[in-house]
Amino acid sequence: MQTPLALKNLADRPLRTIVSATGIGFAIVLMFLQLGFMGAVGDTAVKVFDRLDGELIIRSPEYLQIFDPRSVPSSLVPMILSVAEVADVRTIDLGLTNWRNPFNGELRPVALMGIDPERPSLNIDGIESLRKRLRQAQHVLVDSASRADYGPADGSSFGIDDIGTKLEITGQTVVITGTFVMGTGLAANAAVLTSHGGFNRLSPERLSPLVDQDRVSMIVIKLSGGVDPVTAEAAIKERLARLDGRSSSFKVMSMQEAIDHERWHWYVRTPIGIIFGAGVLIGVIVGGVICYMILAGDVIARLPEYATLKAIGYPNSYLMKVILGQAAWLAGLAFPPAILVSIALYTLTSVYSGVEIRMSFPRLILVAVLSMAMCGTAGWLALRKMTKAEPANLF
Amino acid sequence: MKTTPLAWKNLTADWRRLALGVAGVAFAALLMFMQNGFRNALLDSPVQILRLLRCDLIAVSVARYSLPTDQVFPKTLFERSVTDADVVAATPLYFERPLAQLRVEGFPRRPIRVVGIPKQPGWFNDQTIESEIKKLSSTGTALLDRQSRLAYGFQWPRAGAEMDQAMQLAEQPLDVVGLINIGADFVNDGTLVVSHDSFAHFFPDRGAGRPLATIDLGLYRIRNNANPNAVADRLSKLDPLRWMVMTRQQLIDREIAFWNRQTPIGTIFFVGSMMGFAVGVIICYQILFNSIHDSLPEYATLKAMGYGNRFFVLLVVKQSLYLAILGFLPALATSWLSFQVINWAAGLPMLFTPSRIALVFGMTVVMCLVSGLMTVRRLLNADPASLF
Repeated sequence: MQTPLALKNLADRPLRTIVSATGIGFAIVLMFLQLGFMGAVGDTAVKVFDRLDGELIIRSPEYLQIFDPRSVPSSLVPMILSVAEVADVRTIDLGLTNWRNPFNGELRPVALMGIDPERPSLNIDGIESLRKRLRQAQHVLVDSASRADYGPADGSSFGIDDIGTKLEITGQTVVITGTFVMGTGLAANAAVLTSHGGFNRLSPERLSPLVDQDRVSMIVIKLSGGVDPVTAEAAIKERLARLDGRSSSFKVMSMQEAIDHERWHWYVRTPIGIIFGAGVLIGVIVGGVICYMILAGDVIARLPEYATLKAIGYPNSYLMKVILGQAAWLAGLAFPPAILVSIALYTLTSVYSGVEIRMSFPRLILVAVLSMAMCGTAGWLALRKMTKAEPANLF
Repeated sequence: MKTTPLAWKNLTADWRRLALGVAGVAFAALLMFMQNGFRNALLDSPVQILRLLRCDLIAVSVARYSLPTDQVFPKTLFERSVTDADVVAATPLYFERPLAQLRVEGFPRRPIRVVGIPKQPGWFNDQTIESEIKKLSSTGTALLDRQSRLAYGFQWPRAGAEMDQAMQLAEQPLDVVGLINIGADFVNDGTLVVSHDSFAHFFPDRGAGRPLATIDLGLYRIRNNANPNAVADRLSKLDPLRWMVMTRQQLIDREIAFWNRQTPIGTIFFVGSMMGFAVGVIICYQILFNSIHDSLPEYATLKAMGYGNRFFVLLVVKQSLYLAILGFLPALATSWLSFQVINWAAGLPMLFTPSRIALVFGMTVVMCLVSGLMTVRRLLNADPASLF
């Protein structure tokens, strides 16, 4: 049997191996963290879309982002309903405004959502009973994931104790009639759900002469069973095209398209997205450099041994195999503790920043592949110099 | 007698190892620079416009918890304040975003921040803005922020040429007569600067039909020997329920604190910087550990000859300090370059200030010292006889 040289090299100086594995582990944690932050940005994009009850949406050509969607006329609703493929049409309003903390009077930005309580377009837990609490325009439901500085009665999160509390949103008095669970990611630190009537009363754009009063932010379309979404989309586009010029400019798209578009917006168009993207890149580069340093250090330390092997006739490919084997073992050794540390750091950051960061399976695979690639490249680079050298020069 | 600079000689004995060490420390420092730079870029962006203002005091509505919100105070209150003996000059500043829908020919409408400024120059620190203000004499003209985001569809003219795209602001024709630099932020994708008259012309519905009757920011310059805090207090007391007057720096600090609290960037970049620090400690430890490990026989000889622990601690400390300095310099150069690239590509203000450079340098030194002291333990515990 061949001597497992890679393993023996590592076992030879266990302390050194532990230090090396810790270094590589840190590089892995760094990648996990940056990807986690980036993921939190992407999650922001899907918080609302994931809960919209339908397959297609119609929105304004001036749509900017989920909480600044501009609007479409509600008069489109009956026209879309008349399309054969469509089973149901629902509406949603979205915007950002300000909330006055009922205890200390401080203002805070808040995400505002409006639905038709008779035909709710949002799939949130308990919507069947919650929608009945939105009978009047001043009734609002508060997201229990909202941060504590918005003034919940128990000082930590909104719940049953807050029902009946009166406060000001956009300068108008509202009454909390219930709570729901949602979260809005990085878009805002609190969210409020009300009826369309309530939204029109609280929307910061209610006074703008540019905004048509009979409007909704987006239209959510549910298709009849067995209908191909692509066919339905084409049929709806055709129906809109037959209306006047302005109506044909409204965008019809599948929920997935909307989510992809929104992710793109958060990654590329927002400063936070751009910066976390750069962070991922830096994480990979720094990780690679750490691995290179560790492996190059090891190669230098063992130069005489490798030179001897070379001198007695082992080919470069064998040395390469040893180093790559060592790199793979180090990465494999570092990976499990790195996952644990990353999960701990995710939890810590989530608690302190109030933004949920979760470990996901695709991310595990991605980082595993990246760290193997990183260690492999670093090992190859570390060895390249030596393979070119003459054995005699190496002592 | 001159002693042998052993720390320096040890470090430079093997240039390959030194290069690796320097590269490692440089990377750790670069990582800290980037994390710190990103954090500051995000927090600097909303106050860029305040930093451009040449004034001592600024008045805002008490309800204006952050600059991009629309809380205003009445002009009558502002006019009362101007008569204060210590106020030398004062002017209102107007902001509009929701009504300010900009349409560039061929692109959808998007909101843009419009700032209404006085036609008299003297209120800005920025030379370009100061010299371009005179072009705003006719109603309907504007200066456009060159750092506005791409989504608007602007085609930037070559130097000296004029913007020739057709544009409408709030459904009225807009004439861009000059380019300036302000910068985008969390809320605003771009900025237009117009005169007070143009502001009223574009947004006639603002303030229930009296667009200039409600003010967003009131700017004051005060007498040289007046105490800014005292004047600010006095002006605030004119109507403490409606407005507050503070120094420009106080407003900047308040705005940065708001975004720091409002967004998770403070926490996230703190974790990021700590990662850079930890990475640096590991790299430094590797380098110093190997360096000491390989010269253990030499150290053992020195120890046997009677050199004390103090000597070895000093030696390792010196070695780590050299490593910190050697690694920091390339990091500084690389970070400066990266900051320029990010500033250019993302339009974010990546600023280098002496205090920020000092912070990262301090962290780099501490990082190297920590790993140095981790290695020295091993050396001190060693028994000379067992070292050979």
